Amino acid sequence: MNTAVSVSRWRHPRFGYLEAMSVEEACALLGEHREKAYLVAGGTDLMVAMRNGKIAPPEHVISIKKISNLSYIRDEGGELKIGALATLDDICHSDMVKEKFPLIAESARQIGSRQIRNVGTIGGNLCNAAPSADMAPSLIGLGARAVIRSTEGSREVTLEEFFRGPGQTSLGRGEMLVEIAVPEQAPYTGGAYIKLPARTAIDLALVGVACVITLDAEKSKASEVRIVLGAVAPVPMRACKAEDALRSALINDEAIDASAEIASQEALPISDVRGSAEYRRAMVKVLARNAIKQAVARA
Amino acid sequence: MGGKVQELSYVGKDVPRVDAVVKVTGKAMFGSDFTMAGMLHAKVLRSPHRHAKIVSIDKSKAEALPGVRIVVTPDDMPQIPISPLLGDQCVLSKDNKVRCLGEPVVAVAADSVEMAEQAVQLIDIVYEELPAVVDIEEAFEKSPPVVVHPDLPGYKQLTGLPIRPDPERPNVCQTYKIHQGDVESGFKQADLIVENRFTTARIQHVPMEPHIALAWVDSDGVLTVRSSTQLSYLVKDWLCRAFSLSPSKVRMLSPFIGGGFGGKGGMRAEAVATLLCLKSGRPVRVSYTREDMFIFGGHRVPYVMDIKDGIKKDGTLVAREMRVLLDLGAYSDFGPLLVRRAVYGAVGTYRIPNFKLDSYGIYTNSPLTGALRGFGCPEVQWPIEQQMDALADKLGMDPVEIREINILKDGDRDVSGMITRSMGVKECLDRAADWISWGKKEKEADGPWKIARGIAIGNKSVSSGHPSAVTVKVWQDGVVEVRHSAARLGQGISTTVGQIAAEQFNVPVEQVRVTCGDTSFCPYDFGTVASRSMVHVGNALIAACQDAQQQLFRIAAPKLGVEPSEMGIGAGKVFVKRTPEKSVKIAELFTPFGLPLGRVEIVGEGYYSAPAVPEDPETGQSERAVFGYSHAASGVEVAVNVETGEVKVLRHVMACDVGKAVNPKIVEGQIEGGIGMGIGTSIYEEVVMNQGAVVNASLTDYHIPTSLDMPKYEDSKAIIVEVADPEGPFGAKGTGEVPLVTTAPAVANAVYRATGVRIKDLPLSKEKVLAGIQALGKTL
Ligand SMILES: Cc1cc2nc3c(=O)[nH]c(=O)nc-3n(C[C@H](O)[C@H](O)[C@H](O)COP(=O)(O)OP(=O)(O)OC[C@H]3O[C@@H](n4cnc5c(N)ncnc54)[C@H](O)[C@@H]3O)c2cc1C
Repeated sequence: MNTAVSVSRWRHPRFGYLEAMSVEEACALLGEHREKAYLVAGGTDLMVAMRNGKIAPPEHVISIKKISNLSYIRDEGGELKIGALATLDDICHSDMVKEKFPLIAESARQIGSRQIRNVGTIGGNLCNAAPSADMAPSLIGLGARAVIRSTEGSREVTLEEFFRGPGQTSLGRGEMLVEIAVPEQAPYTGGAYIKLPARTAIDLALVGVACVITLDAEKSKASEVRIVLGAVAPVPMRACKAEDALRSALINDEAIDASAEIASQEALPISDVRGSAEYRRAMVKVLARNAIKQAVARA
Repeated sequence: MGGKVQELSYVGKDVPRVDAVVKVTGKAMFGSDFTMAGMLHAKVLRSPHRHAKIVSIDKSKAEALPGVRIVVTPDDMPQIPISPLLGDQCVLSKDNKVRCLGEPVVAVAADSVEMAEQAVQLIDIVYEELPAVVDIEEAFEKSPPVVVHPDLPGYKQLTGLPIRPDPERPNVCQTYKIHQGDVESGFKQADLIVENRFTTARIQHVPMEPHIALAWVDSDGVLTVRSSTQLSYLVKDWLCRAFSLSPSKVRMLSPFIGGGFGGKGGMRAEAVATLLCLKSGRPVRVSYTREDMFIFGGHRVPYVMDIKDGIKKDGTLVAREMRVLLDLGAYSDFGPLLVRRAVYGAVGTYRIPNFKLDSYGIYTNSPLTGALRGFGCPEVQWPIEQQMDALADKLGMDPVEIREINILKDGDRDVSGMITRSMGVKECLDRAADWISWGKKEKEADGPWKIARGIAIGNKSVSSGHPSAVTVKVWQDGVVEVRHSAARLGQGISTTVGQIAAEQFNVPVEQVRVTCGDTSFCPYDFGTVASRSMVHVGNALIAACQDAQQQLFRIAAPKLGVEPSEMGIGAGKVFVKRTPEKSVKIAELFTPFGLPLGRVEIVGEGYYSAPAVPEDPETGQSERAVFGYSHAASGVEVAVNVETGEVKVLRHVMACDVGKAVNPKIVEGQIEGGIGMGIGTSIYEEVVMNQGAVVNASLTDYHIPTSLDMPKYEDSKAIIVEVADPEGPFGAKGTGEVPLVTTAPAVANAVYRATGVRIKDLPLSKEKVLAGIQALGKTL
């Protein structure tokens, strides 16, 4: 029996507020306070989690908002580099992103509301590691890498490897995310992200599916395809078997349907207040089919 | 009573709202804008069990915490009920028992919210858990697994409202019947019988402003409570009872309220604020969080309804039988009244020769419920309006036609025995059908999106038997001051009563000042509920204006040399009707010091209570159980995605017969708000329960519609229909609730027409709709 009502939590914990002025300082503070501290960027995930008791109250909150030069969005020889502090609103309004990586803008645009996008950051969306995080499927689909810094130095992991579980990332002690790097996409590449929320706006994904596909010059076969599922597994997950099925086939409605069906079998959804596992699985099929079709049309 | 048909200058006009500027500029004061020196903040410790005995409470650690000023347990106070009708609830747990999750057990006041929260964590309570019943039908049984209130037969009935528990069913605290004709013989005459079961969801009001109260005792020993209540005078009465106070020493203040929708129609934040204030001697504020609202702020009662209809081939209804079960939760609150009033939704629209309705209010170990916009009438019409479509479908008839055949006409006796008057539903239906292009071809399916229209009609009654009083003071400069006690929920009552006073005194609205919200000088009002304010406050106001004018006329008589009956008033003057140039300025009826000549004050008094005739307890028959009915019709066009189950309302028209729109813009606002709220309750809103616990106690997972869930501006239409009620002020009926009646069944009917799936359980969530579509596919 679930008698755990959320009525007796202490929702106004006291905590120390520290401001880092540089990445080095933030990493040093993180190393110093270890698991007793959280970084805060826009705070749109962290503050909610602290208030509703989803996370144990930290002793310190380390703001990284004042770090300059970490909200850039730039093209570095074809690669897209996004600083961890770039807001979702910056991303969906960047002309460069809209032109070269429209999928990223499309995903950012579907998050929350204008107010949330104004303060929420890409780094926060990824580091919060919600299975439903709307930036994750598309970025994984595009083969993005996470650039991680600590006092020891810098390292990179693919975004696919970045997520470890709900709320868990591969960030180690004293590490923070500083950048997302997205490789230049091959010619004839198209992408789509389709999200099914419970209502039209200001809502988390019940299911989200991204597809990034690269077609051959005849546009009859896929040389590369990634299908990434959100909110139907502990982490945003690639539907590898569905990708394989599509990679070897001629691109037509039957092949797309078959691939979408496989994706829905691969998903590992749970039932919760937002939806049942069966419904989520059924929706993966519908959304995957639509996402693949859109991606193909845009390739 | 009521106004005569005349050329009107202010009533019926879009006069700007008196509170528009202060609200838009942020100057309007709401509950949370008020603080006081020395004010304490309260928190309560809530029950973690559905049903348990309290064995012991240790508050010592909490009391020892710095900043904590008082900790009150159930043992520290007399067990006097705070509930409105039936003595089943105390401020803190009654008889050392908790009966649902989330009910307050211990209350703390401290220097800050944080300290109070921390203190609550430090209270140790030992409980002995008891078995619980949360399923309404189990609770309804003759031998239920658990009796929630074994002492029910001994509970005090706190008002004159008849309370009739069911002696055979120990969890039933109230029953109500409306029987007319003989349904058995009716069903025998029928060519077709359709029987179904429908349910409605537990929902929350989600007002922008959660419940809030601030209580303090001033140096005269007067307890003042400023709270976001729809019921100042009733709450005052309950506080006097619960804390043994003289009414002369309790003052209620009601500031602007950030939305009520019935949720503030009960004892809410006031009880704990008063308790802690009286115990600590300090001002105390109780401010519900959004989570508190979902857990113990009151829910709309979930209903289970069985309905059986008999109809002739030609479309005339011959019999209807309904059984209505209301899951009131652990405490009755206004439930016993709700059990009676809700059923009038089944009364006010259709002519049915044989009718039988039994309704039951049932205790379960579930959280507090109460009124929510419509007081049961929308819930009861959810099945009826789908049945009408189901019957039409089986008879091969048009849904508009079947309704037109069966709706009541003026002069008909309805199933509760009242004679129908000023019946405007046909006009609502016709105009809604016309706007939505009923009968014309619908748009083709767009991929998986199937498009169809749906229609529904309905009513909401204005209650009777509950008075409102108004006073009108005339100042020496001719300004007319109206004093009323209706709450300002955003519905615009102070604007509309100002228009009526302007009309009565023939002065511009700027010459009228409307005051309210203070029981120390604003007279009695039953409450801002049941769509009753315009009818009651309006009629009382007209009487008060006339009384004030008579007082002026008597002073003017020696000056004008005519009888008061020959005088008129306007433009700040009293004049002779036959020779209007013969007049005296209102200022001249006062001394230079502002004292009226030969009087203490010019204060007119008015009072109105809609006539009520007690019903026969066995049949519910009464010539006048309600004041009368307002009517509505919704026409919607929806798109249903047959692959995902998503439902979108593309177009929505609602026509409401409100008798007379005293301010059409304000009435349109009510209708538009009803459309939005109706879309929410149709498709999205549900407080999800798991074994008596609220699972989605936040706006993350309780979805109210956003502007993007609404039809586009040009696709949403409010139509005002005015079939004047001879007893209403200027013909007005109620407007507040009727806009929430018709949307849900209209959407469900449209979904059926789009997909063939009839959803009988609110809301029409994606999963339910898709499951329906899939089940249909299997049976095809
Ligand atoms: C009303 C509302 C609607 C929302 N709608 C959506 C939605 O539709 N889709 C969606 O995906 N999300 C949604 N969110 C969640 C949230 O807004 C986004 O995830 C947002 O991008 C989080 O960014 P932030 O900067 O606010 O993160 P914060 O709250 O500041 O941080 C989130 C987490 O990441 C950590 N963190 C932040 N930056 C770094 C870094 N550089 N390195 C290491 N760790 C870091 C923090 O310690 C914290 O644990 C919504 C939230 C709200 C309140």
